[in-house]
Amino acid sequence: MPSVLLEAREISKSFPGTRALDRVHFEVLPGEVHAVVGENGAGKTTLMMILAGVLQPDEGAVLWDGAVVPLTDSRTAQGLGIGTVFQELSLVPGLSIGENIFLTRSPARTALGLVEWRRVYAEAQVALAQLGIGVDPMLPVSSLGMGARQMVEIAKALSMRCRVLLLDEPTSALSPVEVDRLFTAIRALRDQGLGIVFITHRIAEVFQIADRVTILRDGHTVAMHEISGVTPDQVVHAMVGRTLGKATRPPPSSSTPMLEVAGLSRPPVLEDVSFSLNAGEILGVAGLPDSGREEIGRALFGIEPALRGTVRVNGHSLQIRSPQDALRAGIGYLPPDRRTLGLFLRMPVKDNIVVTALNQITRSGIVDDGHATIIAARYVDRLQIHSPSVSQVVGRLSGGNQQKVALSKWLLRRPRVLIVDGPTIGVDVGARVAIHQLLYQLAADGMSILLLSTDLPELLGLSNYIIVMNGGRVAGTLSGDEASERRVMTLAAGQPAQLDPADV
Amino acid sequence: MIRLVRRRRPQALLVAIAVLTLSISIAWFVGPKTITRAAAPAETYVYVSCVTQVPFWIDQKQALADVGKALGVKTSFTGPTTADPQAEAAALDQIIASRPAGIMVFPCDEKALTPGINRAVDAGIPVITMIGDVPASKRSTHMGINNFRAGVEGAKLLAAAIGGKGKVVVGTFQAAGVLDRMRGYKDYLAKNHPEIKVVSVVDDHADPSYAPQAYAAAIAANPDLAGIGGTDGDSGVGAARAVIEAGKKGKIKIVAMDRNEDMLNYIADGTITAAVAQKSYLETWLAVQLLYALRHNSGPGKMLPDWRAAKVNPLPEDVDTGIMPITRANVSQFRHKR
Amino acid sequence: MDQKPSVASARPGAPVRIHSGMGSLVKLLRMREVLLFAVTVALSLAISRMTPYFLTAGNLKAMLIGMVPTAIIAVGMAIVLVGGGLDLSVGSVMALSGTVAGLLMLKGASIWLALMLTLISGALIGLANGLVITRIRVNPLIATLGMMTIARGIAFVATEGFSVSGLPEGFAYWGQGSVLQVPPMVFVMAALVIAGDLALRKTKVMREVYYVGGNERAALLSGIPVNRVKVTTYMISAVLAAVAGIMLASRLMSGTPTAGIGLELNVIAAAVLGGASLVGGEGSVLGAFLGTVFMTILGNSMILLAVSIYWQGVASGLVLITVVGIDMFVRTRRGEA
Repeated sequence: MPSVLLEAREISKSFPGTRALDRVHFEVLPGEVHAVVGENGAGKTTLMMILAGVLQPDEGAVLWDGAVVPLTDSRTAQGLGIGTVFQELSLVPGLSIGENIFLTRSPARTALGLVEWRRVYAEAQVALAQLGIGVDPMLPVSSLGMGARQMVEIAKALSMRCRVLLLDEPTSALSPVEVDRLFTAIRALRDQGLGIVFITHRIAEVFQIADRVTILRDGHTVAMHEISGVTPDQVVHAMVGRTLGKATRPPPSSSTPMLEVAGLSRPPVLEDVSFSLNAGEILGVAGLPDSGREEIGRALFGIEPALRGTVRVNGHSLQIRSPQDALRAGIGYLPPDRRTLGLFLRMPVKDNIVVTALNQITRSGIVDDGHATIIAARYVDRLQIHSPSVSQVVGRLSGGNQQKVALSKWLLRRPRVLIVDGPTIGVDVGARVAIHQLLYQLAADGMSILLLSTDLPELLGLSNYIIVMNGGRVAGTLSGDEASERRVMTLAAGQPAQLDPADV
Repeated sequence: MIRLVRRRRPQALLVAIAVLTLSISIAWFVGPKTITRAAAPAETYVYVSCVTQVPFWIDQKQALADVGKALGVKTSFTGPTTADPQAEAAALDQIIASRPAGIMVFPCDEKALTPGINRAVDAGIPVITMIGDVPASKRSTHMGINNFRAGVEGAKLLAAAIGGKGKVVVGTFQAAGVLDRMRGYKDYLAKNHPEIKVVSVVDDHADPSYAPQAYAAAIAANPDLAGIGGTDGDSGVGAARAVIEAGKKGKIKIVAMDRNEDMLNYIADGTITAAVAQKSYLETWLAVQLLYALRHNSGPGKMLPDWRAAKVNPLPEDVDTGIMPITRANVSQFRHKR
Repeated sequence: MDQKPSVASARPGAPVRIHSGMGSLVKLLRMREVLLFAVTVALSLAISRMTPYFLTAGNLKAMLIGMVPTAIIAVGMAIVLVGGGLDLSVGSVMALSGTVAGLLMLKGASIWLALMLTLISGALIGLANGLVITRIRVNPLIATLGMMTIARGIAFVATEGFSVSGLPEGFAYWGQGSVLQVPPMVFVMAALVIAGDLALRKTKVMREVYYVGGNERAALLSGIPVNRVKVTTYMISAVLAAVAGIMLASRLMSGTPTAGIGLELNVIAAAVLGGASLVGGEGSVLGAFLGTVFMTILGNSMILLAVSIYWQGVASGLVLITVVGIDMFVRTRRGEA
């Protein structure tokens, strides 16, 4: 029986106003991948921060190799062999990969005190190889995509010779291909004897990669199971305490084209993109990073306007050169990074919701805050936004609730076409389903939705049609019925020249 | 990652050009007179100073212009706009590099400027210190009374104005010259008028928008205040406003310094009893004349064929130009013609 | 909208309490202003214990008159700061406006025409600031720093360093007249502070300033005309600085190009004391006004107590840091920082 590497015993932690963890148990064995799941606010990140030494528990103890260790700070934890990769990457884009890997430690120095760069890069190379990555460690981090950066973070942790690796939502910003690569690396590390803690929202991934799963809810350890002995539905049920619905495709709608795009181009990221979206339809857009998927959204909303091509909304031909043009045309946009682009974190919920429709609550130039409150309350209720009040500052809400607030402002504005980019990234399971249901409802009520996403189940579940972007072009169009993960991935990942729709 | 695209760059450039042109044209239309000429290789006499933007230097600049025309030479006035000795020393070094025929310097700080003055003299450029001396240096002459003396003169006038006894406040700001004037006030009063008490020193920041309330606070703190001694023109105006607004015109006597235009009005109507004006025009005019004489071996310079070889100073060591008290009786003479 | 919002019925998993009218963000603002008010009162009580001259009519009146230009400028600075910007040119614009008004009057313009033209010149300066910052994308610190030196430079060139005096008698009304025992400019200040505070809190145009300062990119993506909003804030700031310059010139009956050097930093400190954040999105006019009052009382007290002029700077700095420090401490404990 392999001995437990890292254990959290009866850990409790409180913050002003909330008890984040209540006598939580958790353990990691060497050579296993142990997933931790739970809704937002369940305590996953708090637990991880305690294991990483960043926070200290109010009660309970952390044990390493069976002995109680006071993890006073993250250095102590690192020294023991606990490596951590947080959700917010801590890389410095301007420095090279090698420099980043050694960022928090003084690298090898010669007698004169100069840095031995050759050794730095050699060790970086070793760490990267452990993960199966063959990238040149002298390249600047800024040249890497999100997936590769994630790997560099892990390499950083590995280079400190850790025996336990804590990963907080490592796949949230990765494409399916990058996720595969990550999992391969994780399996390799597991086989080398590391204990890997994997915190995630995505149940599907848990069943792909984990050996055991611990479910947290409201700060308690609800259950721990061997993966072989439990089903996804059971896990979800344990997480939320209830059964959730599934995402469904809106019914086929009227055939009035609401958004018609022809020859949209912005070389080199977009080339000759054409598609048409009817009222009440959800058009999914799939694609790897830099395939043009995100760029379609930015072009149609006037953030990075297209240089050529035509756009017609409700039959009217338009020039979209700025977000204001897009708004006037009846287009809305839910950006992928809600914290920096979609929300006013220091302002209350109600101000965030009414921002796109200030004219509605203004009379003779004066803002009617009472009216704003009522409107906001309506959406809070409708979307089940967990917030103490509509005057709560948005920055303090969980990711899922923040996204609901961000979505509310578009519901209020009621655009004809709503572009949503990555609507459920970093959102817990409960909120995710709610958002899916909301998108369905909006479409059923007649809104046209352009759903840009890397989440294949989400795309397949919700879209009437899916277009797949590859290299800035539309590689293929699939109807909801004929689409499958394999088909989408083939179109997305294949070399454009090799694609033959007949083969797909 | 979203880059919000910048559009219409050419228009932005146009705006920049428009703004620049606007400001330059305003300056051109409104006041071409004060654009001083840079030191040219021709015979030039340079006045290096600090806190150069206050109205105090108007007379010096006028004298420079007039004597330059009279003698057919170029003159210029330069130095930092703040009381920054390091900046003045740097300006002095730059002037030395342009090889003027003579340098006048008002030293913001004695020690900071000694090396520069010596460098100038060693390079063959004679230096005259103005209204503040650097005795440790190789300067030829100290011209004018120093600030401490000016303060003393002010104190004499103030003591006379309040009848030799009572409480007074001295107003100043944080710059070496005026602080010396303040010390002059205090020193003279302490030594010669035991019945006069300097209850506090007020810092008016040399800011006309702040000075009145600084003096008003001093007046409020001392209901039986007899007089206010100012160390420059702005303190005079500030004290005058404060006294008027407190309804104490005539009850509190004010003595100020320099000859700021707006302060003269208060002398004319009696709010300010007197101001100590230095003979700035004379000092500058004399200084240039002396430097010119040295350069051309003319006038007083005729004494010796080669004074450098003789290792003597042909010029006076110290020229005490005294002060001019401005009172109601003579204030009309002190208005600048514009 | 007569009915008050009701408390939502308890539904599993979705508790929502709605506070009527005052949300917690507004409460937060009020808290900062209340704190500042309390500290100001405490300071005043302390000073009145140390010297009997603080609470005298003469002293209070002198402080009130003295703070008029600073308070007027603080109104504009609060607005600029809320929008995420910074205006370092206000002191220079104040000085320039005083001299411009004076010169125009000397050249024969009627008082009202001179004032009108001065305000227009202020608006143009604000427009220049705004355009340089939004179209040419120069950092506000640098842009307004440049304008600060340009404006003062123009003032000196135009006056050759002289103060502009000999102004028409009627102009003295604002700064030297008497309405209810105080010069009319006190009422001008009060009107601007009240109007400015209400506008910033309640009007749609000013609400957009909060959004722009809170998150500029999100504001752009929500359809707010970010550039227009920013330019407006700089124009307001400059026009108010021009008003301050006119009031000051009226009080002194001369246009002084040396006025207000360093004023901008004091005004920014006052606004930050009053709750404005240097990154934008927070602050209020009332807070900036209270901050100005606080700093005026502080400066006044040091003169009354005859604190050595060499120590005054140190003392003000320490008090400022303490007050802001207390506020940050309170915020961190509440979990908002």
